[in-house]
Amino acid sequence: MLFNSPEFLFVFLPILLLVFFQLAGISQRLAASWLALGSLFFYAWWNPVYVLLLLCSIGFNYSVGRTLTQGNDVGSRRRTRLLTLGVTANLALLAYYKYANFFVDSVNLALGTHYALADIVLPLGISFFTFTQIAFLVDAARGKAKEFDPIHYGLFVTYFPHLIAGPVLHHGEMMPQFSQASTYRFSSEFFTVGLTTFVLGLFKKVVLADGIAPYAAPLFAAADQGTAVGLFQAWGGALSYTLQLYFDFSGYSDMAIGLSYMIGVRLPLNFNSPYKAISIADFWRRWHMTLSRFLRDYLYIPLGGNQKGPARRYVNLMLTMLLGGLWHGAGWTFVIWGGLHGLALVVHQAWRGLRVRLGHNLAISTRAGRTASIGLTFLVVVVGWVFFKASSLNAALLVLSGMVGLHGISLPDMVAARLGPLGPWLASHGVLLTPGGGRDFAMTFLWVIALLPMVFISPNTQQIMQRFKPTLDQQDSDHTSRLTWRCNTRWALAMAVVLALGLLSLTRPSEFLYFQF
Amino acid sequence: MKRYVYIWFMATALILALVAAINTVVDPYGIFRWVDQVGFNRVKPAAAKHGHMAKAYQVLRIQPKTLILGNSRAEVGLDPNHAAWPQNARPVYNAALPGTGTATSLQFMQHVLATDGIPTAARPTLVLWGLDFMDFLTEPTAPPVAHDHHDNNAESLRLMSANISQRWRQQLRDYAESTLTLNAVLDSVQTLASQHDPYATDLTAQGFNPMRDYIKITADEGYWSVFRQKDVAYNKSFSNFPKSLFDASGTTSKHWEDLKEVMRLCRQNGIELRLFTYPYHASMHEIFRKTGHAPGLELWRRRLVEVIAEEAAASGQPAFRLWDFSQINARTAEAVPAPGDRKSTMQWYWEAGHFKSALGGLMLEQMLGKSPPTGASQPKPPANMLSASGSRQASLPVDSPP
Repeated sequence: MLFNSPEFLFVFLPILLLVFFQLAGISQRLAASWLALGSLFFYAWWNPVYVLLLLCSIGFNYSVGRTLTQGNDVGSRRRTRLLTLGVTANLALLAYYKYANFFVDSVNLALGTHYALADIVLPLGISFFTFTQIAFLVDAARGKAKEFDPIHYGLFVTYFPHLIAGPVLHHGEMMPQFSQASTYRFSSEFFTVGLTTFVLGLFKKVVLADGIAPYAAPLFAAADQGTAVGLFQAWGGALSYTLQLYFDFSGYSDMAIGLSYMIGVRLPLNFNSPYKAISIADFWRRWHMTLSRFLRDYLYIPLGGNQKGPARRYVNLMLTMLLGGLWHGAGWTFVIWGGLHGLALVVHQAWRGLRVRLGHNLAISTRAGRTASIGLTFLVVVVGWVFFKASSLNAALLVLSGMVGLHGISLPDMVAARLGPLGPWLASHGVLLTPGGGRDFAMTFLWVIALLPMVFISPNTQQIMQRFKPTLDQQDSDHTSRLTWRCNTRWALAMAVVLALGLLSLTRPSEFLYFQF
Repeated sequence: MKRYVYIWFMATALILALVAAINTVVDPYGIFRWVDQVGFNRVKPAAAKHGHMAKAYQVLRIQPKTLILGNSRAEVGLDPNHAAWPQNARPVYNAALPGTGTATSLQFMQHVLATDGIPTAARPTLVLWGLDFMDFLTEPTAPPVAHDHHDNNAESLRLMSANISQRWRQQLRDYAESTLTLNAVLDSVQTLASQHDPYATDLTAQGFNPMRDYIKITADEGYWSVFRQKDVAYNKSFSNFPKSLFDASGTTSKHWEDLKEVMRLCRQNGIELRLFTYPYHASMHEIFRKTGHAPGLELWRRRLVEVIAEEAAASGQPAFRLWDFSQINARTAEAVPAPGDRKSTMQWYWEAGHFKSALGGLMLEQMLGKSPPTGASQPKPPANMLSASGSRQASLPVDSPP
C-alpha cells in the first residue's frame, strides 16, 4: 500500500487511527498491538508471504538481543560471539535477497561463466528493517539497549510510517515513545499538525515529483539504449531527475513524519533541504540523515573514524560511502555513485586541512563564497545522480558526455522558431535543429525553472511547522517568516488548495523512488 | 484546531466539487458529452489520448448500427460521416484505437455485445475491421495459444466485465479520472482555449480523429520531413519485430485466434463483418522490404484469405468479405514533396503509415458498394486468394482519375 493510494488514505488510515484510539481507552498494550498488526497488514498488502520473513527476522533479533543482555558481562567473549552471529545472520539475509543476483552477475562478467539464480524478489524495506535491527543488536551487546518489551520492539520494527522507505529508526529514540501515555490519547494538536505535515508531503510527491518525472525518464531511457543526447536534453533530463528525487524523498519523509505525529510519535528528521548544502559533508548531514547517522555510528566509527590519522580517515570515508552506495542498490552504478561521494568527501576534508594549514579561519565565510560552494556541491550531487539513475556505466557516461557537450547541441525546430533572430543565428553556429519534441523540451525547462528555486530558497516543511516540532532533535531555527504555519483561517484555506491539488493528482499512484532500496 | 480542520476540509470539498462540475461540463475527454456546444467545448484536443476510456462509454451512448474497428490508421482514415455510408448503416461509430492490435478489437466487440446488466448495450449490424500486418507478427517461440487466452484486464474490458462490482469500480475510476484529476483540469483549460484553433487535435463524438494538428505540422515542417521522421521510427521498430506469423504451433497465434473469435461473435450475433487491410504508402512497403518483412506480408495476405474461407466452410455460411488495400498502386505510391517544400500538400497521405480520410472515403465507397467496378489494369491478386476464399478481393482503382 502506498501513502499516496486511495486505499491507504481513505480506508486503511482512518480505520487504523479510529480503532487505535478506541482500544487505547481500554488498554495501551492492546492499542500498541493493534498498531503493530495494522503495520503488518500494511506490509502484507504488497506481498503477504514476506510478512513471515519480517516476523522471523523480528523474532530472531529480539531473542538474540534479549540473550545478549542477560548477565552483567559487557565486552565478554560470549557477547561478541553472539553479536557476530546476529549481525552475520542479518547481513546474510540481506545479502541473499538483495545481492545474490548482483554477485552472480559480477562473477559471470569477470569469469565469462553463465551461472544463473532464480529471480529473487526483493522484500520491500529489507534494507531498513535489517539496519534498524543490527543497530539494536550492537547496542544490546554494548549494554546500551534499555527496553525489551516485545510488543514495543515489534512495533518499533514494523511501525508503518517508516517500514518500507525509512527513516532508519533507532530503538533508543522510538521504544520509549511507545511507552508514553500521551501516545495513546487523541490530541487535536498532534493530529492537526501531523495531518498538515502529511498533506505538505503528499503535495510534494504527487504534484511536484510525479509532475516532473515524465521529463526525467526519456533521457535515461535513451541513454540505456545507447542513444547520445545533446547538451540541453542531457541537462534537462539530469536536472529533472535531480528534482524528482528531491521532491519524492522529501515528500515521503514529510508524509512519514506527519503520519507518525498524528498519534504524537516523533520520527527523526530525515531530510533537511539537502540542496542548500555548502559542502558535500554538509549534504550528507541533510540528505537521508538517519542513514548517514547509522553509517557513521555503526560503520565509520567502528572502522576507526578519524581517530587513526588522515590516511585511515580517508580510507574509512571511502569504505563507508562505497558500502553506502551498495546499500542503495545491487549494481555497479550504485557503487560508483558511493565512490564518487566518498571521493568528494575526501577532497573536501583535504581542502579543509589545506586551508587550516594556510591559516584560514574556517568559521568565516562570505556570501559569494557560500553561493559558490552551494553551486559546486549541487553540481557534484547532480553528476552523482546520473550514475545513481542510469542502468549501466555506459548509459551514465553517455549522459555525462552529453552534459559536457560532446554530443553537440540541438534544439527542437519549434523552439528555435520561437527564438526570433536567435534561431537562425544558433543554426549557423553549429546548433542542430531537429524536428519534433518541442513541447517536451519546453515543458522540461519550465518545470526545472519552476522547481529549482524552491530547493535553494524556500523554507522546508520542518521550518514551516517549527512552532510545533513534529520531529525529534528539531533544531530551533530563527526562521520567523510568514511561511511559518499557524492554526488560522488563512492557513486552512491555503492548505485546502494544497490538499485539493494533492487529491486531484492521486490517480495512478506511482511508487516512491526509495522503495527500491 | 477544530475550527482550522473544519475550514480546511470544507474548503477542500468545495474546491473539489467545483473542479468536478467544471470538468463534467467541459468534458475534456468526451466521456459524457452532456454539454456539446460549438465554440465552447465541441473540439476535444485532449480526447485523442484517452480514446480507450472515452470510446467505451460513447459507443454505448451512440448505439451505432455500424462499428469501425482497427488501430490509428482506421481512426484517422475512416470518417463516420462520409457520404458513402448508406442510411441504414448509420449511425456509425469509429471505435478504432491507436496503438492497439487484434486483442483490443476483440475486447471492444465483446464490450459492445455484453448485455448482462447493461440494458443499453449497442447492437451493431455491420462491423468494418481494419487488419494490420504488423499486428500479426509473433515470436515463433511463443507458446501455443490456449483456447481461452484472452486476459481480462480492466483497461480494455471497461464495462463488459460480468462482475458487477468490478464494473462499477472501473466506472468510478473512469469518472474520477475525467473529473477529479489535475490532468483533467489542465485538459479542460486546454479544451476551452482551443475551440477557435483550427489546428487543435480533436476526437469527434463519432470517435473519428480528423488529424487537424497534422494540417499545421505538415505545413510547418513539410511532408518530406514528416515522412522522414516517421520512416525512421518505423524502420527502427520494424527491425525489432519478429518475422513469424505463427507461434510455436506453426499454424496459428493469439492474433489469428482473436480474428477467429471476432468472426465467431459476428456469426453468433448476426453481424455482417467486412474485413480490410490498410493501404500502406509505398515507402512503408519499402521499409517492409528493407527490414525483411516483405515475404511475411505476402504470406499474411494468403493466410487471411484461408482463415476466412475455413470459417465459412465450418459455419456453412457465405464467407466474410475481405478488401485488400495493401498493394502498391498509383495512389499508395503518391509522390512525397521534395525536402524543404512546405507548400505542396499530399492528397492521400499524412505520412507513410496514415492515410487521409480522402483515401479512406474511396475505400468506404468500395466496401459499401458505391464505387464503379475496379479498372482493368488493376494488379491481379494472386489467383489462390480469390479461389481459396470466395472473399471479394479489391485494391484501390488505379486508373480512375484522382
